[in-house]
Amino acid sequence: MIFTLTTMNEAYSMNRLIAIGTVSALLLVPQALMAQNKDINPWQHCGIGAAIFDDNETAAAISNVIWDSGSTAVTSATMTPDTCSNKAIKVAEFIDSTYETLAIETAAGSGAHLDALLTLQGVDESDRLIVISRLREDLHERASDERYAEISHSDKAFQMYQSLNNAAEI
Amino acid sequence: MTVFARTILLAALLSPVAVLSDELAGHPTWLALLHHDRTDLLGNTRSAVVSRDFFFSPNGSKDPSAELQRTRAMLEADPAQYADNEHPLCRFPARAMWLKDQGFVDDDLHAECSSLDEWLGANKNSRIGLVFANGYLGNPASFFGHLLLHISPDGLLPSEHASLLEKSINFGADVPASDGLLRYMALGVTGGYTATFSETLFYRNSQVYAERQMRDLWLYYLNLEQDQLDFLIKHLWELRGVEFTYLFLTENCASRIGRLIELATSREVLPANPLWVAPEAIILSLMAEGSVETPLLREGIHLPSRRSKAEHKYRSLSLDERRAAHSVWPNREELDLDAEAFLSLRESSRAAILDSLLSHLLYLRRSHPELEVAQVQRRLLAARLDLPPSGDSIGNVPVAVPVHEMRPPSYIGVSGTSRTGGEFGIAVTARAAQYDLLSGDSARMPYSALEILALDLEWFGESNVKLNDLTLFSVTSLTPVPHRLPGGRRLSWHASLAWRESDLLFNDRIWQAELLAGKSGRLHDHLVYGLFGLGAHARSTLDEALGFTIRGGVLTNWDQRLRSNVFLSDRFAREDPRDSGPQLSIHGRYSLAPRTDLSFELEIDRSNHQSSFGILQYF
Repeated sequence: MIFTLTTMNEAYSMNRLIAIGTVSALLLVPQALMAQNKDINPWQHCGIGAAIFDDNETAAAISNVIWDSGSTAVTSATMTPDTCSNKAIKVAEFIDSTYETLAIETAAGSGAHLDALLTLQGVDESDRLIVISRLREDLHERASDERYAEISHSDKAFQMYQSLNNAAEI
Repeated sequence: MTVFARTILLAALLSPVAVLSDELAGHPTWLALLHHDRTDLLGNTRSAVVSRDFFFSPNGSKDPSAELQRTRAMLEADPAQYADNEHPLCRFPARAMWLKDQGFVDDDLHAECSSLDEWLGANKNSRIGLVFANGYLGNPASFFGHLLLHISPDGLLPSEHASLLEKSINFGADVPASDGLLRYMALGVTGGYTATFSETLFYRNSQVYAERQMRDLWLYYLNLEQDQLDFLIKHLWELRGVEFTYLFLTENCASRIGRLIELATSREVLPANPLWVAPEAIILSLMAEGSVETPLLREGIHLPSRRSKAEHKYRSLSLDERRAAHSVWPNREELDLDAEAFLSLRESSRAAILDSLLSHLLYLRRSHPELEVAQVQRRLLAARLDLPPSGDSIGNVPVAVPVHEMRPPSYIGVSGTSRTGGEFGIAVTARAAQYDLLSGDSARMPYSALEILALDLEWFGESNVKLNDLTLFSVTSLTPVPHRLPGGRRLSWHASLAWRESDLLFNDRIWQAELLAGKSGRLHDHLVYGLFGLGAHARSTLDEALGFTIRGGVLTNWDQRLRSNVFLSDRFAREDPRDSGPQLSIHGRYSLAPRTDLSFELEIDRSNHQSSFGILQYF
């Protein structure tokens, strides 16, 4: 009986180890892959989104305090230095907060927010026209599809983030 | 006590260190470092900081002397006993800097403070700025504007795009999201909240204030000496996470930022015991400080709101382009990108039209999130992306009147008055704050009025001086859709509480509270409005309590100097023997000088009339 129990405990422990190992592998392997993947989604993997994009404007207006340190969004994140670098987070946060303005400035081809985004991304002055041109092409393709109007804010923001990363690879 | 002991004590009390200690404990800079600027009802002073860990002494918030002694002991503690960032020198670098300068602590004190060093390194050679956000009638706490600190790297020309990525430091009350407006107002006025400084990149604040609340922003820079800048930067470090008492009138963003500037510059920015501190008062006070060549505050840049940008883009269109814009988007649901008037234009014109429509649409979505215009926006976006880029999408938004040049909030005026029967008299008018529909300041919220404590005294020949009108507050928001493009249903409203003569005849006075709502819209250069709502009246001669008020008018800015407001009002009550029918009012203001207006008023009802012509001086 005792033996059985021990065995069961061992088996349980073993199963648990295997389970933990499997889950860890499932979590770690994709993260390792993601670490090398420029398409990582900071909205899903780094906790950007709801914490930053405050829909409760009344509360925000009343308090006059909107964000407390500029980095509180990264709270429940599965953030690692590899997958969610400081720069990636900053770029993603900027796009998330200013997407609507960025979209019309991208359409026009210039604007303060677009300039700031390219600065944040580290795009050289000499490359900016090309990058903007690529951003416009991508946005044109997406906005030409009727479904664009139904896409969520964070998905639109992520698409622009991806588009920028691709465009900036000159 | 023995003679020897007394001698020792006296020597200690008279020692240079003791004398210096007494001197420093009451020094304005030390008191400012502790934010020792609150006075209770009994006249006792204390610190506005409520965080206990801001003080070394248990009694430090009330006793600057005890805090001074304890601070010295802590700053001089052996650095070897502390890990990186743990030594008191790392927590209070501004206190250390000043006490070293005063010779009160050892000049060679040093500790390992890597986080502080990082903060100082990041802000070395920076410029400190102030951002003023104009008033916002969506929230009583924002009626009078808002003030933020801004930190820019030195050497860069100020620009909107650069400012977006610069540091912004906000001071605001920590209000739970569950607190409603009334609770917020009650606790805000009575000290029920604490407030903190918070740091973020400026684009986040810009999004809230300029892009969502449609408030124009102005960025100014302080002309600080290098040591003043270093001192302020170090003190800002000391204030991270520190909680202050928040009082809407006196312990607000303006007073706290004003006191920080006082600390850095040793100049008086705030009056000694202000009844209230408005953000624009800080700007005006700083502009008056310093020499003519180098004022303490220098003009920076205007950061227009989304509303201002959209309006400017529309107004930049030619008449043909405007016509085409209306053809493309005649109403909210309809979009005709094949309109002949649009397609017949050059590519650059079409691009300008679509930029204008997209900017207006963004304004609409933010001021009316309930509108379903996502497909319209998508199609406009796709159409604009079909055309080539066209340069600066912001355009040169005309510079609005800078905050420091707008009319001060208070005025006093005198006028000659005549009324029915050929009587002539003199009237004196005065207002404590803030602005009215005829102020004509583009730095204020357009087509809005916010008057606090206004009175009107009259004297006619034989009679005594009479108080004709005492307005406690009067708030009006007529904000229309910026131009003739499709818009949302925007409510115009008015709320006021006043004591006044009930009509143009004497001997009947009322307390009058009005709450009106309605619509407003543009007709060429005029703003036409209509308001209807409840008016509660408490009369000296009748028991009448409640009636209805209807008011309609036309507000016109004839040019930069001449403005008029012509309106018709009537009040309906169940029993009103003094009902004199509708009253026509014609009010006008002509600007003689930046702080001087000519004013004229004409009031006519069924059987009486009264007119006045005078001069107003703003201060």
